[in-house]
Amino acid sequence: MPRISTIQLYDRATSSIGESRDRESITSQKASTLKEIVRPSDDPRGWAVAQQIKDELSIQDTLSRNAALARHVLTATEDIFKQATDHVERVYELGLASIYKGQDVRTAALQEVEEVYESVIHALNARYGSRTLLGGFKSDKPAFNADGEFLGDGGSIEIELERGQRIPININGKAAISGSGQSGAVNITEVFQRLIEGLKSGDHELIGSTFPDFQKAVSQLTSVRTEIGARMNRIDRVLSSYEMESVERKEAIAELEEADPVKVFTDLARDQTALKATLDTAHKILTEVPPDKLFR
Amino acid sequence: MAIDNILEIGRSGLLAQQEAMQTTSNNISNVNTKNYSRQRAELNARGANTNFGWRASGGGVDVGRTIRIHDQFIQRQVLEESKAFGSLKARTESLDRIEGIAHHGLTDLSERANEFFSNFRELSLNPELPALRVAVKESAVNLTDGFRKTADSLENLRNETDLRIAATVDEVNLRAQELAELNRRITGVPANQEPPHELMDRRDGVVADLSKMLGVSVSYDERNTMNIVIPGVGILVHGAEFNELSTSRTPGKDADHSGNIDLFLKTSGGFQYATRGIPEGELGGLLKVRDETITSTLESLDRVAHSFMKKVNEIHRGASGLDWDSDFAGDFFETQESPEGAAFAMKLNGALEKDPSLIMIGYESDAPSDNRVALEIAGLQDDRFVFEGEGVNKASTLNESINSIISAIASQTHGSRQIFAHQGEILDQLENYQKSVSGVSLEEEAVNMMQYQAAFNAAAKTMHAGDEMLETILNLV
Repeated sequence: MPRISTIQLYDRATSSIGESRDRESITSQKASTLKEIVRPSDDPRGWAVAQQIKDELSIQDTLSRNAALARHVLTATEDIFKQATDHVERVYELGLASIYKGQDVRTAALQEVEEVYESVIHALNARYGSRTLLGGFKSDKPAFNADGEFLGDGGSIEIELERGQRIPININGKAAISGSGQSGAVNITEVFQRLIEGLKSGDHELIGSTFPDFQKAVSQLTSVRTEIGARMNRIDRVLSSYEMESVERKEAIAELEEADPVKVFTDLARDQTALKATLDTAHKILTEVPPDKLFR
Repeated sequence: MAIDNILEIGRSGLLAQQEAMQTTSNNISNVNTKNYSRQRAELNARGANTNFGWRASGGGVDVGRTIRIHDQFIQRQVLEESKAFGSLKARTESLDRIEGIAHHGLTDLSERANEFFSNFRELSLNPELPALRVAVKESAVNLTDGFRKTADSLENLRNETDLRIAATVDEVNLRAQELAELNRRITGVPANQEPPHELMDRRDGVVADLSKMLGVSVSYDERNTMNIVIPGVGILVHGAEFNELSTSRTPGKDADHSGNIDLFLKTSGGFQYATRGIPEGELGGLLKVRDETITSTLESLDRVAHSFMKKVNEIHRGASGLDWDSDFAGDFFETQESPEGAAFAMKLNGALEKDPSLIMIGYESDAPSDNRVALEIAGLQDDRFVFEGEGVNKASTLNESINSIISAIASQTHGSRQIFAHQGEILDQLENYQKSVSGVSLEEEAVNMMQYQAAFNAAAKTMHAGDEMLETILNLV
């Protein structure tokens, strides 16, 4: 049977109270913060995983913000091409309606076509903030001059939509409007100018030569709008997947870092009871047992 | 048998019980004295008195000696386990502090890095907006501040650890001096006298403290002198002589940084280098934390900062084939040749700081929407360009590297805390056993007291009876 010295009783009481107090303090901290991981060393692996997810979430937030902004840019670009399509269809109608009519009708048509042409050039130079949308990298100047000449460059402005995945957010005006480098494409401003010239001179042949080109132009503009739509769809899909992933990631972080309130408060009640019991026991052992009784 | 013998035997009983009572009283008085080992009076029956022919009767009782109840084997085990305990205690406490600093500093740094990349992403979306260049510049300055602040905190922690090392060395010297003095007093007691139990208890206490602080080897010679050796370094205490441990600060790498404190053992032959020779005890733990954990954390931070600066500069410089005014060299961060001290010295190129419009966003001049450089720099967030060390193939992203620094410290802290708790239990058990053997039990002493008191009373009664017998005889005359 082991011998128990008096100092052991006091030491044991002190260390038991210390241990109980320590446990109660850790659980209280968890209860007050509702966090399972207060410091990385509480669960190094869990912390590292949670931190990785938090970093991904932070990157995703930026990418989401960028994607939402890019969507606005593409919407504004799509508006340009919608307007351009409307204008092309209108001048095509005017050309058709006036080709075999008298000079007065052609003059009236010419006036309207010239106005539409100006509107087209104006639309093609539309800006988003300080940026000319169709100018490529050279976005601080108009994309087209009054003669329909392209002033920008072929720069493709990309943004990072997903990690490591980029998407262009501009449309190359040179290709989309001037038809440069596109097989079967037409230079839309040149077609406009040809029609104006035909209407001015009353050259039926010249006017007639623009009709198939206007049809091509509509198709050319439609395909650009389709491309923009496809990019917007891709952005929408990514944004929607970001939303879902964000919820999942936040849940994963909560699972790793946050404490289960029921468990924490049950543990707290248990630890408080244990501390009280330890204090009571220590009091009993140290005050209500010999040697006092022996020394009476 | 003469009646006066009865009186003499009674007297010896009275004296012996009184002396035993004195030992009990001394035990009770020292019940709470640290390192005190209980004592027991050893009572010996006096030899037979043969003055009256063949019939031998006892001659009373003597207190042979006072025994110190002490287990040398347990004491040695306690000393052994104390070395590891002291080292783990210092290591765990320091790691807790490092973790606190690293967790807050590096998590903040990681957020600053995210902000930096996020601003570059926004700039890539709106490259023509001057305000976003300012935001990029600010986030770059914030990031460099974050690196510097974290490196500075770790440097401060290293200096703090040095102060603790110096304070512990002072404490070691005091203990060594005390031990030498105790040796002198213990060996000064003549051999025919009772051994100085209290001094031996004190000496055991001092050596236990020393073992926790330093991790020492203990040996005794034939005169019961305790000699203390720091393994691999030299003699700390030899008899009544002791060698002092001293500290000296090595030169720092530059004016902003002081060097480390190194330890030397001052012997008659000169100064013996001791820093590497102290793996155990609090000093060993502190040195390990300073020279391994803090140093490697700082090195990792420097490596991360250097790799990051280099990579950003490569991209930024690649785009700088333009007309630059002033002396702007095209780097985004001020160039650092070596990773050493890179985190502390990290700084945004002064020209960019003054004029954020010099921040390169694209490769073409006169093309405000050329965002390719901004995109490349933003893309670094996912680029595994930080290598763990020279020749290490495993590379990580900036944030992964920062997180892995915290993870490494967290794992060390977690592990150290567990081992420390385990070591604490081992030491507790041994100390508990030691107290169980050597500690005073008041109940036991109360019983002893009653026992000696009863014997004392009985001895007095035998003397009283002898006195009455003598009086009866005298009355016959």
